[in-house]
Amino acid sequence: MANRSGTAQRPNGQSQGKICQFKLVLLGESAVGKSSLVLRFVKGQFHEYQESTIGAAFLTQTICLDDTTVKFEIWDTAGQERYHSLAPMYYRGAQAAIVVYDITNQDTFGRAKTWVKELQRQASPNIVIALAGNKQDLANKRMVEYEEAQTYAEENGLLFMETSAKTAMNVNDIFLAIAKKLPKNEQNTGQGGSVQGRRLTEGNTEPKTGANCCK
Amino acid sequence: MAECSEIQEGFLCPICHKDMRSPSNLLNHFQDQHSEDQEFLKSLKGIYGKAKKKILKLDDQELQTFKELTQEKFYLDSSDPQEPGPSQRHTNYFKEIRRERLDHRTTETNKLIIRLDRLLRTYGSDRKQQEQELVVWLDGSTVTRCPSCAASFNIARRQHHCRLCGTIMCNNCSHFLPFEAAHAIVAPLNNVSDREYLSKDSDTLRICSHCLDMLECRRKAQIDQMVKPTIWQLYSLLQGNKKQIQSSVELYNKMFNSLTSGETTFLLQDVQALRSLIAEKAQMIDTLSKKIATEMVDSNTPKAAVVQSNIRKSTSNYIKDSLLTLPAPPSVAELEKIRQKLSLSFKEDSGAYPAGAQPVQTVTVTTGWSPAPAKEAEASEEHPLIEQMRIVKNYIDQARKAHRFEEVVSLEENLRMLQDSYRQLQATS
Repeated sequence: MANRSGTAQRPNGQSQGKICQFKLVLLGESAVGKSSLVLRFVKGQFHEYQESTIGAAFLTQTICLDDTTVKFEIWDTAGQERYHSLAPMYYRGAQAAIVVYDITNQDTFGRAKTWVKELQRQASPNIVIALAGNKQDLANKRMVEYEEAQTYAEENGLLFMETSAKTAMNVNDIFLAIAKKLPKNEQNTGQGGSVQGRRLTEGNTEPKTGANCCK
Repeated sequence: MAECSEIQEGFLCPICHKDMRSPSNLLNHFQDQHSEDQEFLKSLKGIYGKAKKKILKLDDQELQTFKELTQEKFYLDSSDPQEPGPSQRHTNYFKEIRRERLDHRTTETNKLIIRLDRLLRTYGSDRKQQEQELVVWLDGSTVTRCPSCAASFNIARRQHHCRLCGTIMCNNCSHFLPFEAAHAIVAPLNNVSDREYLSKDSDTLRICSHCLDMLECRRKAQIDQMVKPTIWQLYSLLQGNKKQIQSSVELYNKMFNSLTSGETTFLLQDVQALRSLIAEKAQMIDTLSKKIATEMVDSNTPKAAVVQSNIRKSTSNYIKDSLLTLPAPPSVAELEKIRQKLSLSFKEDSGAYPAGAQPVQTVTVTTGWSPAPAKEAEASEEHPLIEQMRIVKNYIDQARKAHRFEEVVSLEENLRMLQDSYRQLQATS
């Protein structure tokens, strides 16, 4: 345990059992299954009537890759148009993003493409983007061909999988694929808002902390 | 001497084979001529008898002396403990035999249950015939007495058959299994047709005591499986709490180290809250283990007392070794000092590392966490930023309550971002 926190504090004191913390954001048109996808990944649950998300929901999940522990801090954004203004705040510091569309709805695929474009333009340059064609269990009502999405993903250097939160198909796989693609050395993870980046020696937020302590 | 080829006949002397012509002659001859031999025989017998007696006596004596000797030896040995000889476990042998019997018993019971299930499906006027098709009834023509009470059958005491195994018995020896109870027994096999037979609640099945015994045993075993002893419940509660403590201690150490090395990732009040939580939990497992130790011991299981006291001991050792050694969080003044020193160098604050927490090397996978989702339908009039700020504040509260301090850190950062952009928004508008 002491080892672990040692790695978190001192970049030169690292040993086996690394912990990496990544911020991941979910984007996509409303009702494509973003919350269902995360809920399946984080809690293994699926609700047939998932309520629509207000603002952005926050969840965490940890996965182990060999000797590396990857902790995802997941921001599940609301798909509704009125919350669009919040999205930049969540993808800005993120190291990974999953753009979700509904394979039974061509419009959502178009919306996904605009999200990808926005990310490429405004998010951090080495963000890992994954494209998820959700609701694979409804493949008989498919409106977006697998090959079409596949070629688009290849052209834009995205990870691509068709998923189903209902049957859990490819859900863990897509998160795992992202975890594998993310850089594991600590310098890279520090840029957004992970623990390593928060060493404070100057006092812009310090007084606030002190005030809390004296309560 | 007579020749062997001829067959001799007459009053022959059994010793010298002479023909004495008459029985009286033979008798006289035998007494005169062979009396010596008889005496010899007698004396011979006498000698044997004496020898026999002597030997027996000797045996007796020897046995006596042997006994004395061994007893003496035994006494001698008792002062000097003997090395234990080679020991052998018979558990496997016992298990093998036990398994065979259990298997047999189980298949027999299962057979009964399957039959019972089928019997419950029979209905209509020809029920008796259907029953006989399912279970072959023993031919009663040669059975004159009830096998269990030995009363003879007659017009008044008629033969009856067990519906489950088909054996014969008298009315007094039969038991009656109500259909309701039978349905309860086969319930897992036969859920669908449960309702169909409710009309025949009063019906019963005639069964023999042996079959009843088997069914009873099964029922008791099922109940035993369901009922967990209080000590089991207490212990699993104890273990669950211990696990929580373990992860809390890991987090505490991480937060403590972060704090003492001057980082502001975690708040001091959170560290203190976690410490008091650990203390609370420690108290809880302490009382739980005390409860376990004072739990009444069943006289049939004398070893239970040892287990109970061991649980208590290991728990108090655990508290002493891993929980009481937790370093106290630094005071506000100390924290200030550390932070001032830190601007130059960070050396040797690793000396505060708790030694007790070292052995934990395995990486535990924390399960996913999420706060309860915000449920505000009428919130749509507000600005999304304000709405989101309220949601995140709520998440922070939830995370702090769940002692998810790493999550608190991320959420607080997000809240700051939200506040910043809201301020910007107001400045521009």
